[in-house]
Amino acid sequence: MNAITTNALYKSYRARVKDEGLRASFRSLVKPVYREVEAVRDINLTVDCGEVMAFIGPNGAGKSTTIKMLCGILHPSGGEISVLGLSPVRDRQKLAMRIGCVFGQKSQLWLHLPALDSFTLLAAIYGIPENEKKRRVSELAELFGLSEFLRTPVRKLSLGQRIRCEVAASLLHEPEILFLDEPTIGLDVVVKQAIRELILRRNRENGTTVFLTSHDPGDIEQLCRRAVVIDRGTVVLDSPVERLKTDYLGKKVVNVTFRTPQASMELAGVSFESAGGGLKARLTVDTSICPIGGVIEKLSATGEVLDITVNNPPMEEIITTIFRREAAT
Amino acid sequence: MQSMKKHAKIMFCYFRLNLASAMEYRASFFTQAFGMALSNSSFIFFWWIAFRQLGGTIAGYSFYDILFIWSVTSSAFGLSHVLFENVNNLSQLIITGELDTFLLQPCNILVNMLCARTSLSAYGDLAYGFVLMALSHGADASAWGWFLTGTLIGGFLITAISLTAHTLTFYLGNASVLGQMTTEFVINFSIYPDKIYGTALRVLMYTLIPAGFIVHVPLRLAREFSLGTLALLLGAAAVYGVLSGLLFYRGLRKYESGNVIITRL
Amino acid sequence: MKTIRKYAVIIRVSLSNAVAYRAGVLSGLCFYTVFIYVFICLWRAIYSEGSVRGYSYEQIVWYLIMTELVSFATQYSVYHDMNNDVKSGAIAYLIGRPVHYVFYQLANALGQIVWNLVCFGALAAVLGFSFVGPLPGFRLAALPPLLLSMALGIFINFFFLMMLGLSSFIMEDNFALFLIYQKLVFMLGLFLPVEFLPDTIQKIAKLLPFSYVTWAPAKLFVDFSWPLFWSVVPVQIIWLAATATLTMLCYRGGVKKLQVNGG
Repeated sequence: MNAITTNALYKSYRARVKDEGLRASFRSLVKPVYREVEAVRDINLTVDCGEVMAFIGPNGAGKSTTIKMLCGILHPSGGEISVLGLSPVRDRQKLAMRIGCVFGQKSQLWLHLPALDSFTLLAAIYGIPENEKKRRVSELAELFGLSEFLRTPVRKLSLGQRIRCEVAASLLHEPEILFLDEPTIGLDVVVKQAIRELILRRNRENGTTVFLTSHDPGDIEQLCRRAVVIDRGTVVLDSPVERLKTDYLGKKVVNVTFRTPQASMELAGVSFESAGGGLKARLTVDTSICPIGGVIEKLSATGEVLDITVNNPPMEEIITTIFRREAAT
Repeated sequence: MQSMKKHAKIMFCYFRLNLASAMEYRASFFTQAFGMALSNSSFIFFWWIAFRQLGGTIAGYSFYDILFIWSVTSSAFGLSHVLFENVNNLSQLIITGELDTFLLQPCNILVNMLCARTSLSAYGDLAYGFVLMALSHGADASAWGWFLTGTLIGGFLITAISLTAHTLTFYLGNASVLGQMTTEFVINFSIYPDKIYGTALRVLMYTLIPAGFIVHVPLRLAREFSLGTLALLLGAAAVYGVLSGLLFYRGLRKYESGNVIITRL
Repeated sequence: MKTIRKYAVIIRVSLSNAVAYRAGVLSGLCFYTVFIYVFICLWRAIYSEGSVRGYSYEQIVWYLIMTELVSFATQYSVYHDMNNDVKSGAIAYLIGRPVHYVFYQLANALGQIVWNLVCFGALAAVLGFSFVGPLPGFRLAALPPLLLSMALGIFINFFFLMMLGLSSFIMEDNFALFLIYQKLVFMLGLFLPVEFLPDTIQKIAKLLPFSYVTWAPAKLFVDFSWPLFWSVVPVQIIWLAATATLTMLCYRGGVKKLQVNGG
């Protein structure tokens, strides 16, 4: 049995369109004007049990809509969808027992109480007996390093600690699939790494399928083996992350400001774009050919560097590139 | 049956957590409780004066009748807001999409959503009704019986009425103001004798906003028991509850279809 | 002269602010209508059993319309704003401004009060005429002294609220005090004419300032007579002077405490 199967998944909804102002409000009440919005157009997806999959796409591509349909909180307009052999629409509560979710702004934890109390409530909701709950909580506490702040009110925790509790909470009922929507956003590098390792470990030890959306290339690179790129409601690319890495993520963008105008720099794997009369430059570095350290060394050697920033190409750029490329092939 | 047990356990768990969470604000609880008691008592003061000057009955109600309907209103209101306070938040949950969090869990959505919050001041309302009853009706067992009936059914009906009002957010957009006004209506219908209102409003208070069944029918039963009236009371509460639940589920289907979004150009 | 012009500007700004904030007034108008309607039903029922000494049914209805008008027109936000100013510590630099804090609050409230009176006054007239018809015996000549009494009542209320707000200098939570004040005004004139109270309570009420916020102008409205005017308005003036003085003393005391403790 597959973890997830969708076939020609389609979602459109009617959005009522209304102008500003009182008169428009009345008009809208009497004679409403609707606009058909196609959020998801034709998604065919098969995810095996135990896979760790990244679901990438620009904002408005249909990621949240798809995840909501997989979880059963949004009903598809067309197509078929099956999660763990169940229909999310018909068997929502049954499915809810077997999936876990960590969604951006929506917290499952009570702010004024310690996370432990929220775990108790979740145990009641998921029908976990008391002894079993105690065992799982201590296991998760050890795994996620929660023991020291499990009894502190959640609002007093740092963001990193809170996210760790959030992810632990989503695993309390030992779900077979874990849906994560931007789990590492706003966290510092150390905490991000910790969360990634915890999720990976869960997948390795328990075979939990992981379905992750993220804008962070680091998440995708380190956590997922497969990436599905979605844009404007359809799947644009479905490939192993390795290919994504070599084709798109192996690049870094370096922005430099010089003191005096600099001529182009000759270095294999580096493309040099000059601007501002030679005072500014944008270097696109293929790190598989030329490691970033070498580029920085060469730039420093000029002795003319005033400011330097090193960035990953933005996900939007990657997606657009992918889309253009795939559309062209 | 097992599902009912599970949901009872969930409700109890919510109750415990809500109480713990609300204890954060217990300092202001006493001021709020005091304020509420003072407010209610100033109305009682008015009625005391009125009956002293006029004697007998006003619109068919004696001073003890007034005290009875005040007690039931206060306790029913308190019960509803202690257990199901989150109903007053429903419009917000729908608009912000926070309703999703409840839908993602394997629990009956109404139980899960309604119980998720409590109002600390409502404990004061609940207690006030009991205190007032004790002071006014002493050990009158029959009156107490109907008081408890009114409180239980009233708590249920007040929740159902608010649920209906806020469910309109699924259909019409932000109905939280409507929800507040509905609560005002319910209170105003419940703290005065029902006969002061004209026919149109009396019809309203026994149908769409059935506040009449919260206090006035229990009062009639306390004065003179009739099996027919009791059946009417239980039947009306059940029917209204079912209808309000159905309206909610219908609205929920709309929400799950994603058709509750209103955008501006 | 320059000072008066300064305050005139404040009043004008607060007035245009009040006019712009439509949502607040609209919900207030709804609640006012609900209150008046419920009261009319209630007193109609009461009057079918008996009556209040010296008031006909029409007079009672107009009496309540007037007391609720004064109540709704008055700004309760001055209490909340002052509380917040003191709690947050903002009062420290608000005092330093080249406008006297108390008079600033007064000028600021005036804009809102004037606008409220216009809106709620119009609604009050509409409701009164629709439900019970014109007030018998009302003469236009009674309007100026009536307006004076209303103004006095509103200002007495204002200074009480100011004092309550200032009490947050010495009290952590003064909400209870605020409620007690509100209820005293409610029981001694807002919800029922003072004449309805038992004799002993009535006598005490007439010695206290609370009845002079709503009962005095409302009684003058429904049953104007010059003897009545001379018996209530001077008392209002005395209470106004008293509350104003007390407010200034509280204010000075608060400022001194602030300067000693540093906020």
